[in-house]
Amino acid sequence: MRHLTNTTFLWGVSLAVALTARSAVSGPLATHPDAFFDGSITWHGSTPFDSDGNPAVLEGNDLEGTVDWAVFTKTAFDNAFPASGYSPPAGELAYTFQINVGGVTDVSRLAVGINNEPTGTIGSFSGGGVAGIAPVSTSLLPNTTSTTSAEFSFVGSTIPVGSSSSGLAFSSRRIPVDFFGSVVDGGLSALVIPLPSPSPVNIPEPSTVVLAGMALVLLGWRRSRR
Amino acid sequence: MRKAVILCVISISLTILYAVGASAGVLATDPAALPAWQGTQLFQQTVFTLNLKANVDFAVYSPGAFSGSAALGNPADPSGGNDYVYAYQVLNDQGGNVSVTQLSVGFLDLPPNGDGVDDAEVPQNIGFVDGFASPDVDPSSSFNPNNNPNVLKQAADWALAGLDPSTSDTSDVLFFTSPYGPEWDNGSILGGGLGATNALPSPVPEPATFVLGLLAVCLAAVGWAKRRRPAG
Repeated sequence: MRHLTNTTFLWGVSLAVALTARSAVSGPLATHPDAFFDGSITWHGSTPFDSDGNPAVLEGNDLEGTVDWAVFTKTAFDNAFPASGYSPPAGELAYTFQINVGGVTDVSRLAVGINNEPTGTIGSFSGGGVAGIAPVSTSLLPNTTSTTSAEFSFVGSTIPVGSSSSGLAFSSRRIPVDFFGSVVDGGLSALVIPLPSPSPVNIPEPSTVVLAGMALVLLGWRRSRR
Repeated sequence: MRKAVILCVISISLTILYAVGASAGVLATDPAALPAWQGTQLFQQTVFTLNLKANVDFAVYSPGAFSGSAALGNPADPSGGNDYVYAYQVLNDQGGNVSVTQLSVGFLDLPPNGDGVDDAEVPQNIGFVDGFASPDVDPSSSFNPNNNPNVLKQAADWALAGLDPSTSDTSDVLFFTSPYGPEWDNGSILGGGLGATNALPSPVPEPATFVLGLLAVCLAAVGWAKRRRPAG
């Protein structure tokens, strides 16, 4: 029930933002055709942020911008961004992000919230039309077994107003759910909601998919015999 | 023998208590700091199950007072005693459930905590006093956009190793210097995908600077008017 309430809230916020936000410059992640399709949702988009708490209207007077995002299978990511500096481990999804900075202040960090789910690796990438300032450091905290945030720090080399980050990525064997993240600077912070984040549900393994397919075939065969 | 063991346990407990007390909250009560500009601010944001909740202690030291702080172990003053020192310490001991990974102190005077007037604060010498972090992991520090003294600064940033709330981790004492005294501006902490903003002290050019600037403008205006006045 709580999950349903959370999901409803997130979709409400997303819809409000989508209906009222000014058009922001989006990179290739926001509309990538090879993003992960989970059977009902294709996981790509662009989420505005604004430190005054109203991302629906980006006034250009504080900490503002957008975070483009997309989720990819390993095969799709490696094909879309070959030799880009990052590749997710086998059997894991790549959660990718790119920060586009507007407003009046640079951005020095993106933290993507994760609800105590397992993660794999973290890094950054360039290629396939995604390019910009690379993070100074990245980390999955507090650990990869039960992670609460994926951190991309630009302290010492911030993303200037009017610029973008490079591609930012982490991996997980869990399929995505709408969650959130935050960006900071100018001494201000802004919530970025929604952003994709690992859910409690694993990616179906190939053997599971084959078994499910066999079961369907058998059911069909049995029905036809009747 | 039993009495000795009990005494030993008590003394160890007192030592631990003293050590915790000594490592937390040193800035808020440091007698060397400006009394009107020291204290503690709570930073909190909760979304769903994740709760970012931590204190930031702060203190501003008038020129020359920083190296005289016994509570900080008489640290070296990178301005040579010429400037104000702005010091902060993050204490992730308020019952949150996510690690704190960054402190940012703003200079842009933006709402909600700034006065809306973006002054040239001239912050310099960003760094930290070692020996106050638990566990002892050094932060990386940098002005935003960079440490070039000729570029106007937007914020002071300290990237932290990830202060764990379950062990009440604390940062080192984080500082920068400025020739100017304090006003309130925005400060933020980040962790667990959450960010929280509150007021923290940040420099402002002294009123004397504004008065001198105003005088200069007035004199320039008078000179311009005299030059335009027809001769005779």
